[in-house]
Amino acid sequence: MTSVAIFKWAMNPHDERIGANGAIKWLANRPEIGDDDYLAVQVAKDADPNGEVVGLTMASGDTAFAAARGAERTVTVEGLDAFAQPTQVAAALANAVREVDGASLVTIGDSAWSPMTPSLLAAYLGWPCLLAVDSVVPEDDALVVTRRYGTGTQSVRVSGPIVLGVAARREEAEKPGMRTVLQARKKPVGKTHAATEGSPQLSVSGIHEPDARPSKVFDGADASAAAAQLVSALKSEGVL
Amino acid sequence: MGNVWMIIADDLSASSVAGVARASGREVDAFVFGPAARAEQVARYGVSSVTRFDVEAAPAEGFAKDFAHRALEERPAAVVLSDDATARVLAGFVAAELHAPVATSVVSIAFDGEKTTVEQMVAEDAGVQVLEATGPVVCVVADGCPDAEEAAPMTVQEGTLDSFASFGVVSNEAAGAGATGLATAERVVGVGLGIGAKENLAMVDELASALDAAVTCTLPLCDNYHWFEHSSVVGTSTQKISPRLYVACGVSGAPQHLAGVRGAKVIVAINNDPDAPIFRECAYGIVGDVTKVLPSLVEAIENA
Ligand SMILES: Cc1cc2nc3c(=O)[nH]c(=O)nc-3n(C[C@H](O)[C@H](O)[C@H](O)COP(=O)(O)OP(=O)(O)OC[C@H]3O[C@@H](n4cnc5c(N)ncnc54)[C@H](O)[C@@H]3O)c2cc1C
Repeated sequence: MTSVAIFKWAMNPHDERIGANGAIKWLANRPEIGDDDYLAVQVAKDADPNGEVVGLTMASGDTAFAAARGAERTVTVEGLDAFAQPTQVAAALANAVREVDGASLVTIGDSAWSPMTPSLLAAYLGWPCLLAVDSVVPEDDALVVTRRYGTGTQSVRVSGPIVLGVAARREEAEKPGMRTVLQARKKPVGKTHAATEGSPQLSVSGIHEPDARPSKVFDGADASAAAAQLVSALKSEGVL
Repeated sequence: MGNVWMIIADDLSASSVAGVARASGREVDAFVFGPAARAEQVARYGVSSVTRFDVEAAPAEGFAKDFAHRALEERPAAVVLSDDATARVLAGFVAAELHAPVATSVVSIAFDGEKTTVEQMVAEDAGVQVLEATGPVVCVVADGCPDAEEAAPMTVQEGTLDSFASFGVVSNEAAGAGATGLATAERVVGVGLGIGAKENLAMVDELASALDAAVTCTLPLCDNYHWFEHSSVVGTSTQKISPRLYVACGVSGAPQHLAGVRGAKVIVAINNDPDAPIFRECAYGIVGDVTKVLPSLVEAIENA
């Protein structure tokens, strides 16, 4: 099986600021490694330990992240900036996936940074999609996908092409060592242009300040005084 | 003039999704995926219709294409949802079918003829961006938007959809005990690394019992210290909660933790670092040593 593992594709909202001119500016103009990216590569490998994993990224610079975790090669998508909308990112990714011969599984971080992109990608490809995925186990010609469901988990048997949005529960336990990373940098990297023509978009008509949410912070140097102030505030909020 | 559609596949945020949908001024059609009780609840949010789809045997995600076809036929003015994983899959297919743009962290939707105007929180809630499009927009609602007012319940219609995916449910595993209590708790006390030592957890328990609250923790207290089960953690790793009151004790406010508690109506933080990120998100806070503040707080609550 050929799988595409997507990494470094979303902007970190921590880098989004409102500039002096009142417009959004991004401190960085390229996507960052997300919390879930390592697991997206891992799940692609787990789905078929003997299969081919192709890394796919929206980033430039160091693109060896997936290769250092087992991907045979990497494709970078060029031409979008930090202001790209989820529809554009998903369209560009869908197009790049279509260019990977025989791909039947896409894994992507189910990122809190851009919650609609994974399912848009699936819809543009016309493939089924499951999000909040923990793990996969291959079983005959199918995959058993375990995903978070309600407060527990659910295992679903799936066959045929699928997009899995993978959500990490913790940090990567063992990051690849320097040697592995250096070797990974020698693996092939291809480029493709972001094809986003005709993607539906919203236009920005302005930015304003949010309604001030009153935050009252009491000085705890005098703990009993602060506690009394807090309790009276919570009583008037009606939450005690 | 199309109606606003809301897609509901979880219990946590249905009320605030309905709140944003109704504030648009259009009539609201609710599409509920899951148990009958969920649909009965949504039917009380002042919506014009409620259609429920049973997903016991077949995951809702398989219905995404057929549901999107229905959207193409009925042309909703906008589609609103929470960031629930199932709702997002359904909404992605609807957006593709309607050729609609998508906005996240949405706090309001308004219509003027064919023009749709959407307000979205940006720059970590430092600003509200106003976005416009002609025609429908798919909107993921921000956590913590005001709840819809309740109204006389509508009758729930049962709907059916065809699946385009080859999905079969193999098993459902329930979460650990902590999770179920947290999901329904009105008040929750959260504890983080700032608590300092295991014996200090007794102070947290005292606060919880004074408040009649459930207790949750940050990930390191489970993963690194094993003081709590995984099902007691809130955040991106585990679960979201939406109590009326959340009191964070010695919690820094990492994005992965805050993602789990933003649905709380009132967030209180106790932290000795005035620059801790949690103070940017809380309604009330005390800057101080949590081991000093907690006993005073318990006393103040008991005397109140
Ligand atoms: C993939 C991934 C998923 C994750 N998922 C989750 C998740 O679901 N939930 C989660 O919680 N985390 C999660 N995390 C971890 C998260 O990034 C943070 O590391 C974690 O939330 C921090 O926990 P904390 O606030 O207890 O600790 P810290 O960040 O170390 O904060 C401790 C705070 O206590 C304060 N403090 C210290 N001493 C005192 C004192 N005496 N009195 C008062 N305050 C004091 C400090 O000022 C500090 O602000 C995840 C991380 C990753 C990479």
